[in-house]
Amino acid sequence: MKEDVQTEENKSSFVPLIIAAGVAVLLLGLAIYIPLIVAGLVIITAALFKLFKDGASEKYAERKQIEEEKYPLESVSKEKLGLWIFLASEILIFGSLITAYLYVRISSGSWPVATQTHNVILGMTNTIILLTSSLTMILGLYSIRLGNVKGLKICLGSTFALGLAFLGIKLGIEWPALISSGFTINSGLPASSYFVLTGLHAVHVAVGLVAVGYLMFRASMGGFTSSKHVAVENIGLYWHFVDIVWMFLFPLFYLI
Amino acid sequence: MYGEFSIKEWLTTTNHKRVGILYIVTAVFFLIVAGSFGMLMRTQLATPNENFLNPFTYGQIVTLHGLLMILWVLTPLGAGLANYIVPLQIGAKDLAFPRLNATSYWTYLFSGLLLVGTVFLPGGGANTGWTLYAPLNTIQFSPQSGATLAALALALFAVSVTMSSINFITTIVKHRAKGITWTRLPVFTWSILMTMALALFAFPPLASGLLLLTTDRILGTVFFSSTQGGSILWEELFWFFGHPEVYIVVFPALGIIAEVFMTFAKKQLFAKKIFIIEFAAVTFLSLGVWMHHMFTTGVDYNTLQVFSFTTLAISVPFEGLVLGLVLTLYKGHIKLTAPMLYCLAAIFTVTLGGVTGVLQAFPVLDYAFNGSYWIVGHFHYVMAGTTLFALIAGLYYWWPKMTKRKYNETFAKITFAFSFIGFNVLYFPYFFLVDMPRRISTYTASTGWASLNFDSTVGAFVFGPAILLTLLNLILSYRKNDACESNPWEAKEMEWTGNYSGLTPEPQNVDITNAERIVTGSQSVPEKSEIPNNGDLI
Repeated sequence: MKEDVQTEENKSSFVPLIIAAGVAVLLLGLAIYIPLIVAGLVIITAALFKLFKDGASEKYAERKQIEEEKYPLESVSKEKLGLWIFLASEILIFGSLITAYLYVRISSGSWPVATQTHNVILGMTNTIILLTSSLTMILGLYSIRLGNVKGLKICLGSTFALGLAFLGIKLGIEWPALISSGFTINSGLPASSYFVLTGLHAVHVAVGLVAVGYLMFRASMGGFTSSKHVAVENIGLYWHFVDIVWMFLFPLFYLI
Repeated sequence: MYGEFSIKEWLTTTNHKRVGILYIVTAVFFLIVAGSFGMLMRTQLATPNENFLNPFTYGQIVTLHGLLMILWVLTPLGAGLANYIVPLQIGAKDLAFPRLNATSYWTYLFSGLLLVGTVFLPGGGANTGWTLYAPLNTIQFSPQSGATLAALALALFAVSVTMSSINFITTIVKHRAKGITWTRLPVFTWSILMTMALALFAFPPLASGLLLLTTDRILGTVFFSSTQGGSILWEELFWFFGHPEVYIVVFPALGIIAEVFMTFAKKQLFAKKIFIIEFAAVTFLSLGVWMHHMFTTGVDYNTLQVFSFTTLAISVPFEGLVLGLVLTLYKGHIKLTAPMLYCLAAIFTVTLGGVTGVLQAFPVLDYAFNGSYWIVGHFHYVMAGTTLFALIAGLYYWWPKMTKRKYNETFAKITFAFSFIGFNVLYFPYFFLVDMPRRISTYTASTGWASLNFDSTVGAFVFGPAILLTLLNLILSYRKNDACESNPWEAKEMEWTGNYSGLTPEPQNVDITNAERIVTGSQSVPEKSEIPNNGDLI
């Protein structure tokens, strides 16, 4: 019993409460008083740092479980299953947003010609950049499977740089050009749907960058070995998902 | 029994039992808040030309009552029981991701506080009704920042539920103890699995719709203020969530009724495999019926026919579920305890609520009933009747498990009688108010609605206090200092017996020919559970 009490203490954490409080402050900021957004972000960041530290120390690592029934998913780790289910919910988010976009576009009748509104060259460049970042992500996984920590670091670094380049081109070049040409977020449904969908995608890329940054941090601490690298694979899955979403958004907004 | 009560431990806990209790306590808190709003509404409507509440306040209260009851009370009350019971039923040490579970809880709590907080903002909160229809929800018609905050709170709640879905599905798939195969999985756990699978499909589209609404309100996009998007776009997104949500709250209720019937009729569930298949069929079909909420929006004839058909189709497996529950009682040794009474009441209300609901599948009747108190009566029979009664039954039933205390049975039966009578006096008149529009804040005497409304208000003032006394009964029993035995109901399910060994033969399928056979369940209950979780950790 004493052991049980101790593990209870070890398993308790303030992080869930603080993250939830941070998000609540952030939402209050969005709705009522803008400066609170900063406060919310600070609280969330602090909680995430604690979370990353806990993750790196594996304080919450699973104790040995009793024998379990796992049919039909014996070979899938629970983290990966959880991530798959999370990605399913993400598919529904983007799926319903894309459906909403198609709905307003069809019911609008006339819609500006995509290739005249958007810079296809920049869009294509970004597509190639994001696809390449998926390649480097998977190369990183293969490196660490072979025990090549240096290879993993290089690959993660490249993924991070490519993701940053994607955001740089999108937020730094494309959006300012669009806005200065009068294609602003409140100028009608074409702009509304473009900015909301690609904006949400950009947020996902940014979250992915934070996660890749965490992997880089852990890799530099020597946290991954050929037998212990679940996080690399799982964050990789998320990264590929974000990549695939772009494969839908690019033709829908830039080509047709 | 909680050892030294430590606030820090409750704030930092990731244990599924504690999180479950936090869920239940918070849901009960919101039940009291939303119930008080309901009483205010009934007070306002008791007599014609009443000025107790002004129309704007009344609109806000209608909105909060609906949102809180459906999302912040019924859904989490089921989730709270599931948190406590599901790991015990499947012999897991905890949920798959304990910290994620705690995060679900805290986001749920804060989202509810934000929503209730909107009424205190200058300009007030949303007064759009729980459906937040466009364009009433846009900045043009609801300029108050409280409406933005309400939308964000709802989005945060959607995130919380999605995190719970991930957690429960993973737990049930990956953490069943040796011997708990899919066929041995208890029916309450099945119901939670279906609930969570459905929530996974239903809540993300709601979150998407709320994202568009929030960008409309904050950044000035034009999704819901333009005619090309507008009200139909919102209704599609909202009802794709909204209809499955009905089943999200009803499924745990059905699971509880099944467990209670099995225990107090001393029978196995009637045709369990078919029961589960019907569950799955309802889950699947419920994703394809949302348009029946939009029959009056001018949808074309073919769409009308398709969704009229799917709505009728879903009633078949659903009635199968109810039938399975009723047949479980057939020739059982029935013991009329308080949870059993609540479950029988829930069967009564789901029958009445279901029959009045399926009539709306016919567009011609839907045109007549749409937006009237008939609809209000229908869904209160399903939500406040079936779901709330079954959840109270669940609280009573698992109370000895959760607290080692037995509530006062006589007191529980008296409060049951009052809540059942109060409930029917409150909501049955609504079926006669077919010409009274929903959400109106007052009416004139010439409409002839006064006497039925007065009856209804009398019912409310019986029903509300009866529910409060029910809760009081539970709280008083907790304060009493005598522990009851660990399995007072002599239930056979794993959370009571702690027998996960899988060595007992699987119960035979009970079909109609041997329905009268009383299956006694496992004979060999081990003296001490091998599963550490089954001790009292609370």
